[in-house]
Amino acid sequence: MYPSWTPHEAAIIFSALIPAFPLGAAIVLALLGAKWFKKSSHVPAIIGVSLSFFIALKLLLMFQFGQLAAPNATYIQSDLWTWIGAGGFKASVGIFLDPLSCLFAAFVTGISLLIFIYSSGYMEGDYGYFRFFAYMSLFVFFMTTLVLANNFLLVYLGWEGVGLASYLLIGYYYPRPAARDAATKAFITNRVGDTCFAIAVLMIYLTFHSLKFSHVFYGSLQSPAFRAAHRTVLFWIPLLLMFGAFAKSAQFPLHVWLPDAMEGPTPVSALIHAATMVTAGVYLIARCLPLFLHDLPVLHLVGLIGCFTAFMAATIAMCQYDMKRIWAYSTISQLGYMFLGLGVATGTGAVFHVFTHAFFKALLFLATGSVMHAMGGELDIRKMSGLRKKMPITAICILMGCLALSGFPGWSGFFSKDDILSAAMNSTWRFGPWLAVVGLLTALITAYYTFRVFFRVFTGELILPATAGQHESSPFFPPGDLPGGEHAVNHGRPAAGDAAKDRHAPAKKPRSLDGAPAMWLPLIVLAIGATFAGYLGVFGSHAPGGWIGGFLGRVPLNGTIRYVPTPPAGLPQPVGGHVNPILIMIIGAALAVLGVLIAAYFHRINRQAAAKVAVVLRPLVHFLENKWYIDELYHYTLVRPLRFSGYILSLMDRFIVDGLVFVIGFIPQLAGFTIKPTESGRLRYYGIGMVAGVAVVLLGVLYLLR
Amino acid sequence: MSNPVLYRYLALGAALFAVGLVGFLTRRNMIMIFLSTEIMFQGIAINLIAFSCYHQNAAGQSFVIFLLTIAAAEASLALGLVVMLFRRRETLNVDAWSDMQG
Amino acid sequence: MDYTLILATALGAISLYLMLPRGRAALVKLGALIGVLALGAGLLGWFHWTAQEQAVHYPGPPAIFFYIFAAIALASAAGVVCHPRPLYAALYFVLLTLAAAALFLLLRAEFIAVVLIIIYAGAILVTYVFVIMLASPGGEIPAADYDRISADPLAAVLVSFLLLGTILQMMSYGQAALAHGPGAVPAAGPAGFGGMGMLGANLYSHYALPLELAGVLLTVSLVGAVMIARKNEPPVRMLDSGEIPAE
Repeated sequence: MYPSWTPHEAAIIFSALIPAFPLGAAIVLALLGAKWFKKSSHVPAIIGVSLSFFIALKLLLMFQFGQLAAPNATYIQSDLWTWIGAGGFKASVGIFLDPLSCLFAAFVTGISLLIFIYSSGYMEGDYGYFRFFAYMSLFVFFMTTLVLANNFLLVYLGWEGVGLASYLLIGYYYPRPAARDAATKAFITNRVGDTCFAIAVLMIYLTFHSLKFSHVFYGSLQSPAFRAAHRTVLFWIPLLLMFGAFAKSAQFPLHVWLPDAMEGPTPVSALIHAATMVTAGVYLIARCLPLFLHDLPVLHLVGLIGCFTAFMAATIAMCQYDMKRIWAYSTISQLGYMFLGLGVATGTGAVFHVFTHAFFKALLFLATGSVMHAMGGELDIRKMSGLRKKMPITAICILMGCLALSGFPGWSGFFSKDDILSAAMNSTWRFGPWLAVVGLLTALITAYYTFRVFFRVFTGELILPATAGQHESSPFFPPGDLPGGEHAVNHGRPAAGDAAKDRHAPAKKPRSLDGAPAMWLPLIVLAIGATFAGYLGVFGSHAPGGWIGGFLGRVPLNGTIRYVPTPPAGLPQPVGGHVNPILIMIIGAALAVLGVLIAAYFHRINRQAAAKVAVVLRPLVHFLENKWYIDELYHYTLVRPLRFSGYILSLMDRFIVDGLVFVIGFIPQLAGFTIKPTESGRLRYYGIGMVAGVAVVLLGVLYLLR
Repeated sequence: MSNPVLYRYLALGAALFAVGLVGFLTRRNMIMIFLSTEIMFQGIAINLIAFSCYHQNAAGQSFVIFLLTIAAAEASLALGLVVMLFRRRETLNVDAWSDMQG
Repeated sequence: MDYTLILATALGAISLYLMLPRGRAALVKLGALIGVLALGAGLLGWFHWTAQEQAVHYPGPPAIFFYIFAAIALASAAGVVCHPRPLYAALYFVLLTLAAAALFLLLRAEFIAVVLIIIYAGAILVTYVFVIMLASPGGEIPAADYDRISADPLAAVLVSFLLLGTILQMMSYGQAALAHGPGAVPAAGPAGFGGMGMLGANLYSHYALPLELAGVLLTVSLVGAVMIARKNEPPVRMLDSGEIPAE
């Protein structure tokens, strides 16, 4: 098929197809979905993303076995075509392949494939079925564009694109005001970061006169004279990139959009707001680590904020009652861990945690989606209990996910978290070990809140909410039916009224609430991944950090993403301590087990005790239930003043600007009113005017002749 | 005033043109408007003939031939139009045909 | 430009303004008087140049003929423009045509002079008169309103005579350039100048194609005139505002 292509060329061309297939699926669905595919809309989406996944996997294997790059060059990149050419400025659409982008492309498409399959069961019969898959495919297109791009502008395109897809999918249930508000909130919050990112891109272009990674990272950045000449700019670029990453990855203080983003369908939360899109910030900083390593204070700020966010979000997660919100705060917390890892310059650890987190957090969300499906949209953990009897497969899968998230020894989260914490402990930065201590404390909290959910919901006596067994009420109504009318049914499923009748009827008892195979099969695959993905960071390579460490260690970012990073000569070494990683591992394991035991006591053995403790710690619980009052803080420091200034400005607009505009508009009106009589439509007057004009022109000529 | 002979013919032509123009602009009868344009044609013709004589060249006279042709064509079409319009409105007043005015 | 010519132009403007149909006979007479004064002023101006004319020994017919026919032409043109009855106006136009033909003769354009009389006075004016007869509303004893009262006489006279004055002034400037032209003084000229032969040779050698095109144009306009004036065309029904035609 491609006889004359070298593996290099073949890799570039095939990797260009990774975004192309989901884009094709999105276009096909957008054009034909409503009329043609309808209930089989998942077919093109799943075909597209699975093709992408196989290509990404193939690329990963080619890199693993060294079939791609020459020994001295461990990345390949190529421009496909010129995207923007304006004067001296040129931006191209191009591919950058190295282990980092390959790993991201592979796990993004892989997780997407599983979630697409899950969605085909979860979203079945929904009014906007084809729209859902079109948006999801569009998201995969933008996300793979983001990770495969070879220049900052294309990354920015993908960055904005995933933001768009996120906006569309959060607002998927657009008849619901909460969904609309959440979509707007996510979009506006991301705007802050995107603006910072855009400014950073401009500054990069002005400084390096190119936007290509290969040029920016391996060009003049390596020369000490250049670095000295651009000291200020090289401080601002990473700082702005950091803010961009923080908005996308929901870090304090821009994290407020992510919990609200749970208004979207659960597979969206799993794919975009847990597994992939929110890790784009981690990818960006990992990719730009060379820039950050030249200014360690900014990198340390990344770590500091990451650490704080991890702690804050974990404490909030302790006192939430909505399952999806708990996982949302957990996601923020885990992302904080990743940034903590980046802050202590262990790009490998951070990416490893992205990798394992993608598995277990997608698993937790999807399992939660199954619970939501079975409980008729109810997610309050106070209203349900003992579900493992009704949903055995889901319970086992979610247990695996919880073990992984809590960092229980042997499960994936344990290894990746440990990587980050030991790197922090060994950091040359004075506060690195303190961050590690906070991280360990957070690990304890994480284990507690994770198993709080598990023990509350899946163990104990069987309690089901009133809505159990119904389909989640849809905000959509089929065309032609009025809301609340007799036919306001749930599209292919028994209507609410029917379900209520069914419950009174003794027969027709559901055998299992696990749902369709399309829903629990991906759960099992993800559970396996969540359980065993961590071992990739231990075994599989002679290098420290296992297969992941060895694989990513080949990223040619001047050695900076290595397991033990070595920045260019003349810069401070970020890692240099000598605390044994095994010690950290043991402490982490002990804390995780302790957290699980605490949770087991309060939420499995003695649930009354939890209530008593909550009464004793009333102010603290209030503080955490209200999410540290950060939304209120925003409300009083940003929303209120903005609204007030908006009111003042609207008054100004009405009386000053509008007045001015009215006056300006009045002048031509007056002029028109004055000369309107001349436009009588009578040719005679036109003739007189014409003759007068000729006479005046001739008089002018005459005057000039004198 | 080196050549008063040419000048006085040109001046006469200009004067005829101006008088015709006044008629064209002031008369409200469609026929009279066209007749006024014929006066302007006469002024132009005198101009052309004067130059022809001045240059001792037949081109000016040839142009008058064309001018007469155009005048004849214009008269035939214009009068045809006048007849048609008169049939529609039973008046020759040009102001009766101002439907298209803004 | 001579002040007498400025005076003549201004007087001409006033006289034309007064003579334009307004429904009052007295003003017409006053206008005619002023018009005579205007012609006189113009004559004075031109007499002033006659001395110079003598100096260059213009070999043509005596200048007095020009003045006579020019006065006739201008007076009859004023008559065309000012007469409230189209038929009389057409007759004044015939007079104008005859005066113009006489002037052409003075300029040695004999053929053109003859053609002018034949075509203008003979053909075009007959058509006009024919249409005037055909298209006049019945009665006709008092002239129609739109003939008795002219529109915007003041503005029209002002702009027209402003243009005339400007043109005259420009021509007096242009005199200097013309003086050195090829035939600064019309001499006896080549034999047969103005004759039919010379014109024919010129037309068919230099302007053959335009001549044929002029013939085609004439034919087309004739056909067009016939088509336009056909009697049996369907009448156009004018809709009242808001009316919807029922099909």
